[in-house]
Amino acid sequence: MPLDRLLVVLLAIALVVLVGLIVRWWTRRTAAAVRAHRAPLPHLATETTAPVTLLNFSSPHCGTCRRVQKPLVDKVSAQFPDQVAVVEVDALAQADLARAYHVLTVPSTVILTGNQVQDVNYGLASAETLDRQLRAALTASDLAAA
Amino acid sequence: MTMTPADPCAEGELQRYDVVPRKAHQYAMIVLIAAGYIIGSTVGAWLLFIAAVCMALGRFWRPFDPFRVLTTAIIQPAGLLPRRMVHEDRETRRIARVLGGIVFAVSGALLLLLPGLVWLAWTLTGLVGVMILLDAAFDFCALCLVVHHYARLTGNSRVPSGPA
Repeated sequence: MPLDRLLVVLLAIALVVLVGLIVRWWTRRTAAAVRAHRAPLPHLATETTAPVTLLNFSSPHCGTCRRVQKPLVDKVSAQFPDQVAVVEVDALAQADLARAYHVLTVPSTVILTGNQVQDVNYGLASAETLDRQLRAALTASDLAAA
Repeated sequence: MTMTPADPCAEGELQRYDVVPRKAHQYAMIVLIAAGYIIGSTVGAWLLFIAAVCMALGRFWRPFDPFRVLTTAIIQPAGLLPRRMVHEDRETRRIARVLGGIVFAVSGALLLLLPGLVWLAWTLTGLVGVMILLDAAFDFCALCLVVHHYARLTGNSRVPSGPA
């Protein structure tokens, strides 16, 4: 009997790890698909003049968005005044915008240069990740302008 | 406060935490409930109670969390596991530990008191175990996903401000 149960536990752990790997793969694949998307995306309610826009998707019930992601976004974007505009998006209230960027969980962040998606992060994005992505987007924006 | 590319988010208002003790605690919970399931009967129930107590210690009296102490006082100083400092939402995980601890305690009680509901006890425990393993191995918050989609489908943005 314990051997049967050991087998069940090992199978369950293997299944969960497999599900985790599939979710990770799907997330990366979706982010790549959103980056490659060329069709016009929904217009933002907030007009920005900065070369790079960071969409910060959250929702009223999301504690992680409020306590961690928003302060991280604010701190990192503050390094690039006039260059990066942060647009806060309520993923529940602006469901069409969330759908367009395949936002299935919050927090999620999207980095745009004009209407071109540069990077997408589903889940909490670290300060280092945002910093790296914003610098790359600014470089891409400079190259496009040149 | 000066920002540099190497330090995109200076310490202070946003604190970084070492995730290794948290992950050690989570993997220890998986081992405890797996051992409980494999051994079964009364011993299994008591292992679930131990897991519930560890969850409560991890939430309310963190310095007394045995797996945290083992990691920070023995394993890390011995150089077996390096520290990994990241920004993360501790409040969410505190709520998760309360919920997980309650499920483990209730499941343990079911095993001891209502043998006819053994399947329910292990199903509930298994669900919590899956969530813990996903968070430990992939930093994936399954409860956040569930709460977000519940709010989206019901159009209710006033769900408890907890796990998501």
